[in-house]
Amino acid sequence: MSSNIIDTNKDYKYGFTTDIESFKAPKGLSEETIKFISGEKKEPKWLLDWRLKAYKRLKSLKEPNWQKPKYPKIDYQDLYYYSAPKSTKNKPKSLEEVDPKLIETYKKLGIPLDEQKKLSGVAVDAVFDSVSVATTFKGELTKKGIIFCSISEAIQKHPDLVKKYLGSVIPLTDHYFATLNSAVFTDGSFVYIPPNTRCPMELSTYFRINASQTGQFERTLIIADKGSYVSYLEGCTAPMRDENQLHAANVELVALDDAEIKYSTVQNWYPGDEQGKGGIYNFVTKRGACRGKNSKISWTQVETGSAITWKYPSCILQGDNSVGEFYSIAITNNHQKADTGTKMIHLGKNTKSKIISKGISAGKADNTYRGLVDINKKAINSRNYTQCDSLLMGNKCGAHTVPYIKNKNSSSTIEHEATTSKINEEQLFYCNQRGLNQEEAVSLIVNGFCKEVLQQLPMEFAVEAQKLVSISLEGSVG
Amino acid sequence: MELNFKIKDKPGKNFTQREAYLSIFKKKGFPNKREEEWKFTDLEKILNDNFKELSNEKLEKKATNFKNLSFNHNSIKLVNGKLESFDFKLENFKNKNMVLVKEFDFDTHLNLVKNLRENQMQNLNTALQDGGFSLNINSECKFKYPIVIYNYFSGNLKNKIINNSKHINISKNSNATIMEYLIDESQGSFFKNTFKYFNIDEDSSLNYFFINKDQSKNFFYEFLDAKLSTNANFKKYIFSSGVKFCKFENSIQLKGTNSRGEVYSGLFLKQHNHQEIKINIQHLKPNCQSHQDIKKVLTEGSKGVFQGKIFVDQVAQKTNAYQLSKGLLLDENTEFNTKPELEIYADDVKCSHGSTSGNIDKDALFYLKARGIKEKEAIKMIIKGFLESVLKNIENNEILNILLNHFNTHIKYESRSN
Repeated sequence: MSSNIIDTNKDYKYGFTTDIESFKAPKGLSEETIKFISGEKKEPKWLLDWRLKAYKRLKSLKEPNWQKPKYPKIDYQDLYYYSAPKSTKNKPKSLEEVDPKLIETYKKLGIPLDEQKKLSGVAVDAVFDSVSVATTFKGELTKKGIIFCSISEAIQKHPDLVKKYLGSVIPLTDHYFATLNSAVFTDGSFVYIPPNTRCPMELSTYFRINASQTGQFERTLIIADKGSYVSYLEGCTAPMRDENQLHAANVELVALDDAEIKYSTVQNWYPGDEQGKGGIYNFVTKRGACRGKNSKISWTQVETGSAITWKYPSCILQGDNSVGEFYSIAITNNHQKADTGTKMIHLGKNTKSKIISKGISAGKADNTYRGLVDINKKAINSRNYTQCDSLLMGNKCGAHTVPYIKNKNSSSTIEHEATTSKINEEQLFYCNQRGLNQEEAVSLIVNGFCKEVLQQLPMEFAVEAQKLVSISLEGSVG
Repeated sequence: MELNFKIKDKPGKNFTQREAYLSIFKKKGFPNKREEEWKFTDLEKILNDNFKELSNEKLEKKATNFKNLSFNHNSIKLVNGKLESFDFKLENFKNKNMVLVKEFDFDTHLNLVKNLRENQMQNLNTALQDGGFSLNINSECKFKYPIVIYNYFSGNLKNKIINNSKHINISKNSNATIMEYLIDESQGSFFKNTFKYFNIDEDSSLNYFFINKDQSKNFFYEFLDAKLSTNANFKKYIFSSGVKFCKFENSIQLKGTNSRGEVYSGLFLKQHNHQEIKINIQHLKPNCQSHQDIKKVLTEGSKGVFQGKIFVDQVAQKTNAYQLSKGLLLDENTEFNTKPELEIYADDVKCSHGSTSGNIDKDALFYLKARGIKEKEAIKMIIKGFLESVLKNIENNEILNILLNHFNTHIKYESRSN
């Protein structure tokens, strides 16, 4: 795999063929491309300058190579950084044209027919249920003063908010992929919750009209003003076919005094086939700043897709008494590789963080937990608890734990524990004895192993995620 | 910092070899925090802050005027890193070749270092290696008494760098208990860079203790490369309280089935001491076991670092590995940094680690005070209990007494809070 140069979005074998002829930016990464993107989106000058600054910085950066999974070299000059909404010409005309394996998975997950069509990219008529649902939701949100729109729209309509917070959590000068995103990001979500408002529903990209084609350089910005609450869902359990192989998204969260943000992700992108061919590279930067007193940010993720996942949703606990949480399930099968974890940076007094990470590795996969807990000198009376467990299935996979723990403060306490083992044979036997076959038994035990994380997911998500956990491990037992 | 490194060999094969290693070293210099292995211990900065100059000039020979420990033991004496004398008369071996001790020579060195070139300190050690010993224990050798290695430093060692090596080979079905005893009476501060190579053959066992006697204001780096064969057993104990700076790297390879490697350490650090323990236990064959238990008490601006790794190869099924690191931070400005790592490629294993850091548990303190124990006394009891927990498997009573004394000397803590 390593010798191949990455397929670019021009003709990605495992995704759709895209109609790039219609409307596109010049190929390659240059000032012109960035100016083109910015002009196309009618962006104000400050944003163009910001992008160019990021590009200038990018030129002096090197791609990171400390992660465990290595990937083939990416030719950034051979990528398209902007193309207009895809025409429906080359999309499958009906579900019969879609990979039967994919359809089977949809059925197992219990996804309605209309949604199946949308997910697999079948050209769907304008009459689609979720569209009308979304419109109703939007009305309710506007009444409360909540802004939920695409980031391009926010740049036009709410420039002050965007200008104030964009890049304030993930600065321009961050690592390679984050800086690349800053220079060329195309779209994403923007959420602003006004003071003392509790968002009445779970916000989901799924309900944002036209949100399915956000592209490979997605940028999300969520701001929870004083005393507000929001729960945001990203992705969905159904496997998404995608036309881009490289994904480098940036997600920034800002929680002010007494605010709380709950961010849940279910990621099930194409992991490549059983031989490890193809599959998405998911290099995402997610970071939240608990800027105000008593603020809270909670990350929950279920990562089952992508060929390579590098993802470290982090919390910067600046405000006194702020709380950071990270709940994660990472499942890797076949040739998948995941290197994921979190960073908890304690700066304020009495800050608390909790990390629960469950890694499951099967087939020939590699699963790494990598995390940092850093309690600063000034963060007196802080507290961290970390638990990372790994489950191995088969003797060709790997499970690794790489935690960095720094305590610079004698009034703070850190606890960390990790275990690695295989599925307990006695438990398996117990299940078999009661009439469950091997696969059902494994699924039951694995779901039990992940329970602490699954519980954190919003209701509807949790039910689907449970099924997803079992499906991801199919064929790995025996 | 000025480096005055001169190769002492006469021109010839050895000289050329050493020169090659020295030039590799000079390219990158001392490791700094940008290197993953040295992330928490910036050696380059620490040396720059404490030394204006480092040189490997010849040291004057000094007499060994220290008192031997007062229990029955065999001895090997090193003065300023060089082999001075050894004594195994107590054992009364019939076979004169049962135990062989000799100066560590450069050829042995070159045979051993083949695979370790990436380590900058190894390159430096190979270039400037001068002194040390080679201890060869024959098969079926059962010692009645422990071996004490007196590691004695005296005279003016200001701005000196000492590069030496220790090689211990234990042949089949033998066992030994070795205690390295550091006595530092030197003036001026020096930096010591030591490489140790242990080979433990089938069915043999080695218990190795490192104990510091008093205070040492010096800088120590040690790398241990231990290889264990089938059914071999190795335990290492580190008690380096009182040393200003040290970093002990331990690479333990479990190369035979049923072998077992263990590392224990209980440290009390004060006065801005900086001590790091790094352990890499590699399970390369099935049915091996390993255990790590590291406890550190940090006071007065001291800094404790622990980097531990358990590696389990794909073939190493039925592995049982455990690792525990705990830091007790008693004063402000103390720091405890850890990186407990697991890298596992086999599925039928039981591997776990735990790491905690924080101040004394208030409930425990309350419990003792409620029973009429004064706070000062209670704190001392908790600290002692915390550190002495690593001593529980020590069978040799003489060594155990030395260790209890060691703790009495080094655990001195006055609570500064009210």
